[in-house]
Amino acid sequence: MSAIATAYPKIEFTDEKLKNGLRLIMSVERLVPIVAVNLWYSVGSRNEAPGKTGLAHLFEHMMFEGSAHLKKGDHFKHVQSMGGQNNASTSAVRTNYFEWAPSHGLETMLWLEADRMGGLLEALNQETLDNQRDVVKNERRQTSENQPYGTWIEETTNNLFAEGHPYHHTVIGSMDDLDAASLKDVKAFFSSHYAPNNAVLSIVGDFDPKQAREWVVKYFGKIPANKKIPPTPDTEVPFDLGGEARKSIRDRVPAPGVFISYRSPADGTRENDVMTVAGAVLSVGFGSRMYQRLVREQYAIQAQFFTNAQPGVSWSAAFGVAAPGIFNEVLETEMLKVIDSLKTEPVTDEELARAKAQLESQIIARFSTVASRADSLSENASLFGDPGRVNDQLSELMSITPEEISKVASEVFTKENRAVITYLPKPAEVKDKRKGR
Amino acid sequence: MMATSTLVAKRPTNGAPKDWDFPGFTRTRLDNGFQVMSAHAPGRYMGTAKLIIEAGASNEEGDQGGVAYLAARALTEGTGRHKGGTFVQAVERLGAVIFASCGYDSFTVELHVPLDRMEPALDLLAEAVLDPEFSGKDIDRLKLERMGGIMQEYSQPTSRAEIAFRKSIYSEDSLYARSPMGDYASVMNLAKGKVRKYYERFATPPASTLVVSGDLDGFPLVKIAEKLFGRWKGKEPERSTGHNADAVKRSFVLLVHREEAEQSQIEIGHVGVPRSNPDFFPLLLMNGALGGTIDSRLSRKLREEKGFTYGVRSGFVQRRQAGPFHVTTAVDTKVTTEAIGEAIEVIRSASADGFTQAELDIVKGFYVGIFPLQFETPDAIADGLGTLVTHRLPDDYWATYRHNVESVTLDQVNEAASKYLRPDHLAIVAVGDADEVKDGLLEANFGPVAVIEDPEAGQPPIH
Repeated sequence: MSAIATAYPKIEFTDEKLKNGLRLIMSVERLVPIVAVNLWYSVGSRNEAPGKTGLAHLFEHMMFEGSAHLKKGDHFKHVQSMGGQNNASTSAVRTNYFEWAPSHGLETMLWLEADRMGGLLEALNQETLDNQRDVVKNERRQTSENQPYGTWIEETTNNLFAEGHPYHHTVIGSMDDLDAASLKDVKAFFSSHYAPNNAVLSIVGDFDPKQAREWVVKYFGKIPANKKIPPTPDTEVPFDLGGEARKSIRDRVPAPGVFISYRSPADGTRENDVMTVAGAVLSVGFGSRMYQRLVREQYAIQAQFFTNAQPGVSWSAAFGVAAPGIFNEVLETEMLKVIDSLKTEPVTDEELARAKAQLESQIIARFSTVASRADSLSENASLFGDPGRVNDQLSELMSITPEEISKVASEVFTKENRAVITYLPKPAEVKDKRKGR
Repeated sequence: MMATSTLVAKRPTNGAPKDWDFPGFTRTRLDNGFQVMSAHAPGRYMGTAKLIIEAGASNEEGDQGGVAYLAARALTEGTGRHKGGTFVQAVERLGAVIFASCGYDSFTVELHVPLDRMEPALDLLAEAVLDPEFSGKDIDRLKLERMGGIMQEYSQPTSRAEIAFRKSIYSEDSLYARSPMGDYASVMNLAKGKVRKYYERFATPPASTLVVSGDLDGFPLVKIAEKLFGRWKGKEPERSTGHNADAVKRSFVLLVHREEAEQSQIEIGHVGVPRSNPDFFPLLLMNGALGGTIDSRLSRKLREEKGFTYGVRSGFVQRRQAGPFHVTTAVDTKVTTEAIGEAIEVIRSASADGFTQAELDIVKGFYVGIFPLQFETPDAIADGLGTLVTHRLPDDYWATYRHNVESVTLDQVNEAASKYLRPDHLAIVAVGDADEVKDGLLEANFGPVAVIEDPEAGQPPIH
């Protein structure tokens, strides 16, 4: 098949380093008069010390609580009042702060980011820390404990990676560690990781690059580099847990849920691209193997597969929610059949063409907003040193062969390399023990 | 260490905003009444098409809740030409996604595809719309899937609270008291033949509009639409409008027990206004300052001051008839009563004392400034056109939108707050641990407190 049906223009960009080490990437696109700023720091939950889980993310919240010239809440006020949007996110490997707004707001956005990179410590105080600690604990309750099947990611990473491995714990952290986080911890975290030479700043959209560069130098230029950025932790481990890990959990769920996960190839490798295509064969769209064989055949009301790509080692997971009347054992067996089919039942030309066409559309869609272009440029510069990878991604995926899929599937989808987490409805008698009202 | 405040400069002033308008669009009616609208978005290679049919859950007969949803889900399961799973294979081979959905007011068949394959993809979309297979086997499966999905909704705090809330503010026989996707019993009891009947009655060319956006340079859309839909026959259907009645006489608390819940999921509100309400713009800004943005009063109070929640929002839900006004949040179990009290107080003081000019200026800046961000992609532009269709808004609606936002005065905002917020007629719904929160709620005396308990896991929902 023709690999790329739609010829769409490359993303053009400039890439330089300021004297203080800040990497600046600019990409002009003038379709709509808006501009996105993405400031990506190379620090995430993998950098947290034992007993300090959740600190990277709690810290992210503190970046909205004021700095040298800004009071608590000012970030939102300044960005909103000009019609912009802003937020931040933390993963195992990064913390990115982003805002996008009408073009005339660019200078303000750069100033906002510089003010907290250079002047956060001046505003840090116990009151805002206690407030954001409460907010984050509610975030954990809302996204994890109080959701049906909501603890599955934590259970999965806990079972795939041994205690002490940087990917063992989740980004949100434990309640105990959140409670224990002190102002001293937050300050130390800032001093270790937040510096221009540990960050990538991407600007994408409708703006004048010469003017933008002057602003970047003006606002970020005086912030000193940190010569002692801690080294990136080693995360590489073999595709072998030393035997299948299993856990069964009784929870407030209406139907069994089965979550089967594997260690998988590191982000940035050809094998990770193979997993992306394999994942599309398995679960992108109604024509995928999982939808056709699990949902249409009425084993599951929902079944999906995805890969959480990370440097060193990724993890891939299939999850299914049982259809009415289906036992978890049956669902697990059928899910394993579909996953293992990638080893034994070669992907057909038709399946591969469908999967690649879907991935191509997803990539075109992803690069159609300035905000996600900025995020991808930052990501590729930060994790792989090369923002130009944004332009190679599609042709890489389009070149994956069925032989590569069955080879990688055989390496990854083994019993020794998998964790199976099962959620079962709570039996009635447990509920009867509740204290009376 | 040097004083950090010297590291960064003081706040700059913004330049002037650039002009940008909602893309020009065309409207064409074919001889059979089928309407085509298109908006050219240069440089956008991913195209969106939406076929909007003026029929939704509002047109379902009383005992057939879910029939519109099942018709939507079954529409893409197979066609006369492509039976069974072969239809989706043909669609997805093009890099396209086609799916149908329905709300109360409309039924939408949506297509996303790279523009160089828009024509064959539209051909498949037309095939689904004009000749759906609606096989009994698919409909039976989709019914079971929906029933399983409803049980999930009952176990998930956000959706459980929404269900209890809509059943609290609307009378039992109201259309909006039920899900636009059907409730458990109505889906279970639905005869599968009703799906085709419903669809054939309401899906007709004069009730349908095809909206397309993307880089349409040189794309003969009307000609293609003529070829694909010109032969479609059918008259404007007769529609019932559905009945809705406000059930809230005075404030009350409904507690849905969730054993050992770590948080209480809260919905507070009452019946709001229809989309056609003439105070749309004052209400938009009023709600923005109240709880529609992250720097709103509710967010400042409940999140930034108290730390009760990860987030809180308020909104007037836009439907043809009066949709809900509601405040939504999830709070730590032990602060449930206090959080509800603070939220009510924010509503009460907004209603009684209104807002400040500074608050209005920020939300005005937001809704005017965000306009170009809002319509960055063809998908969003198509949605913008879809809004005109669904709510029968004039063609200059988007062209005059920012002016209409700018023109709103503080008096108008405060009048809207006093007129449309009803702090003494609130349904207060909490999904949480009744053992932990009931006493506090009784003591706070927000209104009478009722507790309901859901059946055991795996049993069909009843409330």
